[in-house]
Amino acid sequence: MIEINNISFKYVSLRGLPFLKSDTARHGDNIFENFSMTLNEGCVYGLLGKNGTGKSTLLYIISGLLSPQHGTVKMDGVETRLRRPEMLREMFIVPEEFDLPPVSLDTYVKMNAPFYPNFSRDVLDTCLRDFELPLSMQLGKLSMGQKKKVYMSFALAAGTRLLLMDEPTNGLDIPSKSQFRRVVANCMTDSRTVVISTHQVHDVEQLLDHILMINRREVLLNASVADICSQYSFEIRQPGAADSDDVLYAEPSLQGNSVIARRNEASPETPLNLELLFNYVNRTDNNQEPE
Amino acid sequence: MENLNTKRLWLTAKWDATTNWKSSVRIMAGMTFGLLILYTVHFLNMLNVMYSPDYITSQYRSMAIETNISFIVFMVAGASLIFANMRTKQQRIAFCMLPASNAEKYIVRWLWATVGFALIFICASVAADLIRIVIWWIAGYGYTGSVVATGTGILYESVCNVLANCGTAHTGDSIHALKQKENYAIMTYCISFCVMAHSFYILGGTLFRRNAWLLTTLTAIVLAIILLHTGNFPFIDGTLFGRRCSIEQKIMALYILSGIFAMLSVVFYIVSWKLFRRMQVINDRTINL
Repeated sequence: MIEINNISFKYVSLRGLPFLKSDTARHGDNIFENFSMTLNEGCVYGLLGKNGTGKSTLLYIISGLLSPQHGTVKMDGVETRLRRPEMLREMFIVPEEFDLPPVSLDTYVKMNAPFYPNFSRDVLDTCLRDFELPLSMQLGKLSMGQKKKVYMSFALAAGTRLLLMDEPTNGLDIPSKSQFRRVVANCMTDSRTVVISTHQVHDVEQLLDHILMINRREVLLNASVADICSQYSFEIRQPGAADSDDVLYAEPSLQGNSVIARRNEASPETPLNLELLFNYVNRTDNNQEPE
Repeated sequence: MENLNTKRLWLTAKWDATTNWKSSVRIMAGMTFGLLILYTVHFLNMLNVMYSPDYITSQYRSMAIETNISFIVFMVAGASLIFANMRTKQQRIAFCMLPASNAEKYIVRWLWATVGFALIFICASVAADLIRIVIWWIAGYGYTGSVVATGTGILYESVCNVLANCGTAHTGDSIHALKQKENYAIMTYCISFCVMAHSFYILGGTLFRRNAWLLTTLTAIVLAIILLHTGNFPFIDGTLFGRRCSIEQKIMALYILSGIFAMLSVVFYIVSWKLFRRMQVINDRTINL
């Protein structure tokens, strides 16, 4: 559905020009170089990476808000940088920071809903109820967290086939994070793709069914949660047991050692520990994809 | 070719008006305040010559003419605010991701920078006039006139004169016919210059992300200085390239210059359109390249 083909992208500023190049800060380093990836329908992707690896940039490139210097990003065969209305009505991005106009929710819906042919007021109301928000309100008087919930509710109600979210749980209180998971899970369909870029892995790991980890120029991990959990187990072992042959990675924790080990087929699958997996994949002495 | 859907165009216009109504109100308030300052200066002049009807009438005519000139300046300079709705990253994301074609978004913003600005100015001038009348009434001078009514009257007289001249066309090479042709040529020259200036500020508003009005004006000043230094700009001192010319030569030159201004307007609009189409969310902070 989304094809990212050999894209190269860098931020070019005036300081990147030769006659203005600074000796210290270098602007213009490639964020992505010959980067490729495919996103399929019906999946909730978790886009993870260290700070500055280009997660938000990748979301903006996918949505056509940024144009790569080389390569193409296509949604159903159409380049996203063209920002065609037929494509935009099937795509919604929830950025980390956004503005809501100082109008009532009804006015906001009347303004925006006509642009999305699959918009559903029932879905919006259901999401607002799940977020424990009133169905009628003045958007200008809401707190940041409340605005985020409203915006995400509208994004889900728009019924777009592609939903991009950048740090969606930032600013949400603890109960709201579980509400967020419930709301997104309820709105998933076979034809919808959701990409969530986040550092708050514990907020979303139960929601994800596909993990993408990127590091500037390459994809470090691109695997489904089912595949990962069928091949690896995430356990707590006592210090001596962490040196077993099947252990790929271990780090100390309060209960003992948190380990990633090759899963024995006879043993039951264990829940994914996304933070442990992230640390393993991003170790400086191991940049290879897990087998 | 960008697709254009009239229903979506209308939806986009409604969206834009609802999202950005506060900035329109702020501009109108600023314009109203500016006009009130202008009227207050005249009011202070009128205090010195109390109740002289002829002087009051002349002051009203001055205020009306200055208001009309302010309108032209406001319209031209205000064109640089064409993409003021995309100043912040959040605004850019919202506008770029709106499911409308680039053509529809551009047309909506162009309409705001032209028709919208004209409406803002009209509302501001009416508001300033009403406030002025109330203040003068409270100050004890009563109702002495309306700037808007006087300005409208002056515009009406001018249009009637033009239409009257059109209605009685003078043919041949008589002095009246040449004078009429010269008037048409001057009118065409002035209109094409205003359109060219407006399109220049539209381009500036598209190119410069911040302080668009200031940077466009500075650019215009620099270009004007360069033009003045490179040669004798036609008619700046009433001559054509340093030589006195006949009326026929003047008419020809005015029409040629009008054509050049028209072509420049087209070029500025095309460049502005192309810049808008490739606008991205995170750009260089000063220019949208």
